[in-house]
Formats: sequence, structure tokens, C-alpha cells
Amino acid sequence: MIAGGGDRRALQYFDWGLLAIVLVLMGMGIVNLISATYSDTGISDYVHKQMLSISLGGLGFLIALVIDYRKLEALAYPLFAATVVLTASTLVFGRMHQGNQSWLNFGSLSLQPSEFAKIGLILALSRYFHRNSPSEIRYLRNLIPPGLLVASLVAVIVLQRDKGVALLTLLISSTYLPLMRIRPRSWFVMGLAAIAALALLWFYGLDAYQHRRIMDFIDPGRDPLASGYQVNQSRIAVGSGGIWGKGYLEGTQSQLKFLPTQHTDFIFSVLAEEWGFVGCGVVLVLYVSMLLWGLQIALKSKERFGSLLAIGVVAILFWPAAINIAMVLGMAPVIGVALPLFSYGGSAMITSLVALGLLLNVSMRRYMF
Amino acid sequence: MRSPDLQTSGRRVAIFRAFMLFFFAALAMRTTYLTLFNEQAVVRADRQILTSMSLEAERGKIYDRNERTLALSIDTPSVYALRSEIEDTRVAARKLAAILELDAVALEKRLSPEQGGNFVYLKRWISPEQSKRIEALNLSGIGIHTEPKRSYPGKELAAAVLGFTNIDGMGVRGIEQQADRWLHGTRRTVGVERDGHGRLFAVEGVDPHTLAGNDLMLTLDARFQASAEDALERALEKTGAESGIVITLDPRTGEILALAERPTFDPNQFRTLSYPDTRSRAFADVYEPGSTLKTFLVAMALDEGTLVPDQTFDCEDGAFRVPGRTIHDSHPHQILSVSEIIQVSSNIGATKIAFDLSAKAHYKGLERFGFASNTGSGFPNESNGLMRPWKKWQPVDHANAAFGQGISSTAIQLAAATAALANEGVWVTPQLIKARRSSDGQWVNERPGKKHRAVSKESADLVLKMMESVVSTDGTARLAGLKGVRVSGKTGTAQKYDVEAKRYSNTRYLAWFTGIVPADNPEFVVVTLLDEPKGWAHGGGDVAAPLFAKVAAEQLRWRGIYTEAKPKPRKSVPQEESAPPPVQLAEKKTAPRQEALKEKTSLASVPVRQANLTLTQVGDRLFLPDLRGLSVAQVKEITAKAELTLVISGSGVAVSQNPEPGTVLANGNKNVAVTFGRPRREL
Repeated sequence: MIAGGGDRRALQYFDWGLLAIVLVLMGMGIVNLISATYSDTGISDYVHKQMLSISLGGLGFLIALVIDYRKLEALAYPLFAATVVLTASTLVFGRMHQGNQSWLNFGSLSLQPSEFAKIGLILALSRYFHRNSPSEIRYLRNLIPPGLLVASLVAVIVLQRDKGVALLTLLISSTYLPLMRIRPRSWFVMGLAAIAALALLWFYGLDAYQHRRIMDFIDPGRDPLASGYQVNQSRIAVGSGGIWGKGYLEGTQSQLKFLPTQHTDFIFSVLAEEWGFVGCGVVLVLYVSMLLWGLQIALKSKERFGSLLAIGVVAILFWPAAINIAMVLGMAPVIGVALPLFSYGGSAMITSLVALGLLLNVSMRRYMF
Repeated sequence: MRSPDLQTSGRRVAIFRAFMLFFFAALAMRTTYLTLFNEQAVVRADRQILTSMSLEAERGKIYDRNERTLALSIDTPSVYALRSEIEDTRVAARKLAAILELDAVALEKRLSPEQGGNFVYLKRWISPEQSKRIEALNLSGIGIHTEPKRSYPGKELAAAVLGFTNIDGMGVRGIEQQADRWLHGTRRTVGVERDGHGRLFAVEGVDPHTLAGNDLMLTLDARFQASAEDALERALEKTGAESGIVITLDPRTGEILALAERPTFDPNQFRTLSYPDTRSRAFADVYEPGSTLKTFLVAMALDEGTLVPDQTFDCEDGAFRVPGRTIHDSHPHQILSVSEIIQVSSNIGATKIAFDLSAKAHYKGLERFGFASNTGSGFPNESNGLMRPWKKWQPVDHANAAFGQGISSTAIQLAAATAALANEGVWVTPQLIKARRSSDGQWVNERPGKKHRAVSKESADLVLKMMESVVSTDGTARLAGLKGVRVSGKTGTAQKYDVEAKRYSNTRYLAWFTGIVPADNPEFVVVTLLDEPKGWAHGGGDVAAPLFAKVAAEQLRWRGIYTEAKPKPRKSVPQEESAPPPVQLAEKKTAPRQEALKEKTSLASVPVRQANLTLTQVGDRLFLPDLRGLSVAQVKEITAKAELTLVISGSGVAVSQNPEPGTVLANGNKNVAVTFGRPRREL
């Protein structure tokens, strides 16, 4: 099965271009992370840990690549269930970290299973929408089974108090909706429900600091030294970059530690400060290229499960990237969302690489029908 | 073949793609705007990073007149905490408490972020060893910061004059306070970088330690100071006096060469001292000067013409009635000349001289000698002294003023007044600061103090001559005598006023001596005071005069005038005609004393100039040492350097010389005659 007859042909259709884009982005990510965590003692431990994550992610990437993705379809629900259970286990065994209880500790290694759950989620949703063709999904009631799948995962994540990941999970799931032929009336009802949900969230679901962050987004000058500090410092960092940036390891905002969480959520501002407009432009273009490439794979796949899976992978990469950069640029409130392939963080890196493995898997098996 | 479903999906994927592209276009535009068209951000980045900071200059050093360091600043480590960065306050507190010898619980409380403010000093001025151990702990949020600590290597030496700085480096006593602004130097504003945690980094090329403060050179001579303090210390032990002061002034310039006070303190330990105990008694405390004031009275009376030098007074056999009081002399006298009145310190004679002078003239005269207002030396907390206005003087007050009762002055006022007699009648402001050196410059001499004429030269010189008799066998201060050097002086023994009993005490005294050496060409004015000496020997002549002799002999030695304290024999003892025993070569004689002094002053690092028997030349004046006992070759060798015109007669060792030893040759007079012969036997 793994080394099936078609696999040699599959290798022939391997998407080297996409891999190249991913490698360049990861390389820039590491170079940038070195700067973001640089100290008097030189390259920090963060960089070494990130390299380890990339190695583990590379392994996951290879596994996700070599197993024929169609075989995964059969395992989609059990895999999803497994990731949900793993995520839920943090509520029992997990530890609190930065206000979230979404981490599992294995010695010095800590994992965030909610990241891996994204893979399970897109597998499960792809399977559901594959088995139930878009023309069949017209009514709200058709969305109840996948809705329950998503709700079960989101519920666990909300219990972990990780609202950023909960939001991402919802956004990734909703990416599938426009692909279905849902009646306008159903869209209208869903829209109303979403607004009602947001209102409830605002008044009952958010903590005080989350209110403040959203208010700061609307008016960043409100409280520049306290809650608005991150946004302001980030804007200053990006804004002082200029065309060519201040130079590698020369960013005053990053090297003098004005930037908050600059190795994770605000990694893009380090890039912007040191590499300027040009550096940001290159990274944005690479991201867009990667995402468009992914959509192209979805379109070229002659098989619906593969196509839906590819779209799921694009969604897994697109939403956090878009929200993170928007947040850094002051276009979105501060939500704890990491930049895929750039931010420090093992679970997210492994998840991204496994997802990309699946994408290339779909891509290279597109002629096998 | 694609299913129709997939084809419709294709169109719907295109919608998602459009959304994605739109989103990224928005991000790209925002990035473009922020990076390229947002000048304000650059300004804001610079503004928050580059902040200006006023750097304190390192406090300047204080030197003595020979550039020996009396006070300096040493970088001393202090340990601080940035509360927000401490990971575990309990662990940090426990580890630090062990090193700093502090209470762990209290320390943990201070480290707690609930306390206001982020930065806190945990302990200032810790030892280098403690600092090393703390750095080895490598605790986050705990840092070592070096800040200058004032150090006084001489410890008690000149403590009251130097004063000290408080923990924040501000001069709060003595010279440190007087010259605080100068020593402190000008702050310089430099750009510094600040990081996100609020820590500051000096911009490259600016080292705060290069910003040295301004240095100060005092008029004090550390050697004089050390020997004066040593002599005072011994005098206190011997007499049981509670406190004492020795001041040596250069009468021509007003420069204070030594100012010794006891009890003293160690300014390094200022944190354990009570503030009043660190005052300079010489400047702050007022005393009744007693009979020492008679010299000024005689000088001003001569000046006013109400007294002529050869006038005589009937001293009423020791008791003289004035309205309100009967004045007594310590010994009854009949007819005394002016000189004798000074010599035996007759209160009755002085009263009569005062009465011939009007109260107004008496008061104004004392004012000209610097009484009733502080000397203007600029020393902090200097007192004015007390003198009632002459208009309120009753005859008894006028009489009291003649022998220094009912008037009080500081020791420094009395020294300055005495210096006026030694300086041809010109009063000069006493000075402690000799020169200043800014951080980049050369020593610049301090402007000389203000001066004014107190009495005419003739009057001053006459009184000076009369004061020589005080130190004679018949005088009150024969114990102030110096071998081979002429001494002018005046004793004073003031009863202390008992505030509780509201009368003068019969058991508590102030013993004064005001001396001028050498009398024929004054080099030093030395004023000594012992407060409440115990026992039968409590008078100025008994205790203050020998202290003077000891101090003056030591100090003259450094000016090349070899002498020693040699009390004149009592009148009853038959006078010996013999010449002093032959003097051995001075090196041999003085070297051990120098060694002893070195040890005593704890200024071992400070070199002591090798004393030798040379002629000391100051300006156009030349001190003639005691040449007796030397060989012809030795005398020639010594005198050759000064290009003296030597007239030699006889052979053998020098037995007599003209002028006398200790004489000052001035105005180009370089003729010295030395007679050689067989040495006389020592008696």
C-alpha cells in the first residue's frame, strides 16, 4: 500500500515548487527567530528547540506524504475522535500556560493537542462532505452532523480557555460552507445565529482583558502603556522598518525587547523592523503563492476527498497567517494566534508540516485515477 | 472526468481564492503604508529608545596642600532588584539573605511585586566578595550596580574639617558641604538607550566614569595635621580635658595648615554617628577667650594713642574695685609696665588700659580683629561669637571685655585675630581651600581671602615683642618655650560659665594659648585650647602652652627650623650660662620620629618628605637652622645651597652663630658668621 504500484509515478508528479516555497519560508522563519530571541549569550535555546520541532515535523510531513491519502479517508473519523480525546485530556492532565490549559507535558516537551486536532478536523469534514455531495447539503439540517463534530472540538477548546484556537477552528470549519449549495435562507439564518453568538460572547464569554484588547484595536491610543502596549510597540516596530529595514539583528524594538511575545505572536513585527517593506513583501508573496498553489491542487484533484482535504490544508495555513499578520499590523484585535512556519512553537510547526504533507500527497496522486 | 459537483466547487473555490487574495492585498497595503509612509513610527521608536539621562560626574577628590588624598570616591557595588523580573521571590530571598546577612522573610516582602515600584535597592555598599557571590547566583531580576562611595583614607584625620557626604553622595558636613557644588561637578546630559524593561545602556563612547568631578586642594598639610592631632590626643590623655582644639595658621595668607580637634570621628562610618557629634568645634562652638584678648586690647590702645609703650600702671596690689565688681589678679602686683601686664596677665592693668580707651573704641577695635562676626571662611555652620553692643556696656562689662569675659568667640576667630598681630596688623580671612582643579584643567589657586587692617604695623609689632615676655621665665607661659626659636604668645584661662548655677565655675576651665613662631618673623600662628582640663594644672600656661610648644616644634621642623620644646627654667632656678649641647646631624635625630609619625597617622601611603638639615627658603626669606655642633665642612655644605655669605672664624665645631638659630633672614640679608671652637661639655 505504501509502496504501491502507482507510487513511482506519484514521485514523478511530486510538487517540488511548493516544497521549495515551504523550505524558503521555514528558512526565513528560523533566521528571523534567531534575531527575535537573540541575547548577549548568542543564539538562544528557542532556536534549537524550533529546529527539533522542524525535524519532528519533517518526519510527520513524510508520513503524511507517503500514506495514500485515500486510505486516510477511512480513518478520518477515528483520527478525529482520537485528536479530540487527546485535546480533552489536557483538561485532566494539562498545565496552565499563559492563561490556557491547552498543554500536555512530556518531560521537557510540551504539546498543544488542539493544534493536531485541526488535522483530524479537516479529515473528518472532508470525509463528511465527500460522502454527502454539495447538492445534498442545502438545508440547515444537513449541517447538523458536521456541526456537531465541530462543536465537540470547539467545546473542548473553549473549556481550555483558548479562545484564539477556538476561533481558528470555527473559521477553518466555515471555509467549507461556501463550497456547499446552501440556500440563501439558510445563510440568512446562520448569519443571524452568528451575530447572536457574537453578542452573547461579548457580554458573557469574554474576559475583561479580551474586552480591553478589542477596545484597544478600535482605539489604540486609549491606553498606550498598559493594555494597548503590544499593539503600539508592534506598530512602531513595523513602521520604523522603512524600505530595507534596520538590518539583521539591528532592530531596536526587537533587540531591546520592546516587543511583547516577539518570538511567538509578534514574530512578524521583528521581520518588518529588520527587513522592512522588502522583507515583508517577500514573505507575503511567498505565503500567497503557497496558498494559491494549495488551492490549485484542490482544483486539479480529480477526486473530491482530496480536493476538500487540500482546501482544508489551505484553511489551516491561511486563517492563522491572515489573522496574525493583521493583528501585528493593527488591523485586528490581539488574539493569541501564531504565524505558521514563522512563530516559535513545536505543535503548530508539526501541524503545519503534516498538513503540507497531506497537500503534497493529494497533489502527487492527482493522476492516479 | 470531473463531476459536475466538482466543477461548481471550482467556482466556489474561486470565491475563497478571491477572498484570500483580497485579504492579503489588504495586508500588503497596510504593510506598505506602515513601513513606507509612517515617519512618525521612526520618531516614536527613537524617542522611546533614546532617552537622555543626566550623568553625575564622579565626585572630585580632596587633597592636602601636598596633593595627598584626603577624600576620594570608590566604586562600590550595591545590589538591586527589578521586581517584575524575579521568577521566584522566595528562592531569591532565601539565597540573597544568606549572602547579605539579611532576614529572608523581610527580604521576600521587599522583593514582592505588590510593593510599589519596580526598582529597589536591596542593600547598598556591599563587599566585592558579596557582589561576586550574588552575580554567581545568576538570579533573574537581581542585579549589581556600582555606585561611588566616599572614602576617607585618613579615617579620623581632619575629620571635622573634611566632613562627609550622605548616602546619596551629597556633602552634608565640613568641606564636603562647603564645596559640594564644586566637588559634585556639573552633570552632563548624554543620550542613553533604554530597553523594553526600562534598563538603561550608555550609548557607546560615553563612559560615566570619564566625567570626573572637580578636585579640591586644601590648605591643610597632612603631616602638620597628623602631628597636631597626635599632640592633642596626648594632651587630652594627660590633662583629662574633655575636648580640645589646635589650629595652625599661616598669618600672612590666612591659610589653615592644621586644624586638629578632639574628640573626633571616622567619616567613613558616618551612618553610625550622631549629626551634632560631627560638627567642627573650631568653627561651630563659641568659648570665652579669657586673657588672650589682652593682647588685642593693648594693640588697639597703642593704635588709638590712649596708651604709650612705656606707660606704667598701678596694679593695686591685686584688688581693684570697679562699679559692680572687684577685680583680682592671680598674684598681687604693684607698678607694672604695659609689657609686664601682658607678661603676668594682670586683669587690673588690662582693665585700666581698657578704661583709658572708650567702650566704643574698645568694641570697634575688637570688631576689627574679627570678633562678633564669623570670619567669612565659608565653612558651614560657622558661628559669629557673642559680644554685646558697646552701648549696653556697664563699666563692669567694659572691664570684663579687657580680660575676655562676657565675650565669646570661636577658636578660628581667635586664631585669625592672633594672626593679625603676627601679620603686621592686617587681618586676613582664614582659608581652608588652597586651589581648585576642574576635571580637565590645572590647579588654580583660590583667590586670597579678604583682608583689612586691624591695627598699625607699629602697634602690632610692639605687642608681638611684649608677647615674647610671656614665654620668658617670668611669664605665664614659660612652658611654651622653644629651643633656639623666639616665641610670642599669650595664655588664657577662662572659667566656664555654669548655666545652672548662673555664675562662673571655680572648677571648670578653658585653657588657651595663642602663640606666634618665630616671633621675629612669624611663620605660624598656633592656637591651642583644652576644654575642662582636670587637676591642679588647668591654666593656659600649664596645659595649653606645652601643647603649643610640642605642635610648634614639630611643624617648624618641617620648615627646616630645628628646635624642640624647651621650657624656660623657673625663676627660682639659677640660670645656666651654658650653650645648648651640640646638635647631632638632624637626619639621625629626626628619622625615628618621622617613622613613628608615619605609623600613627595611618597615612602610610603618603610619602613624608625626608627631613634633612637644609636651609628652607620661602620666597626671599630664609630660615637659619642651628648650626652649632657641626663641622666646618658640614656648615659649608649646608649653607652653600643658599649662597650665604659665610664668615668663618676659628676651627673645630661650630660653637656660636650670628644671627641666632631660628632667625629668619630676609630682604637679601645673607651674612652669617659662625664661630668654631672646641665643643663645650654637655651639662
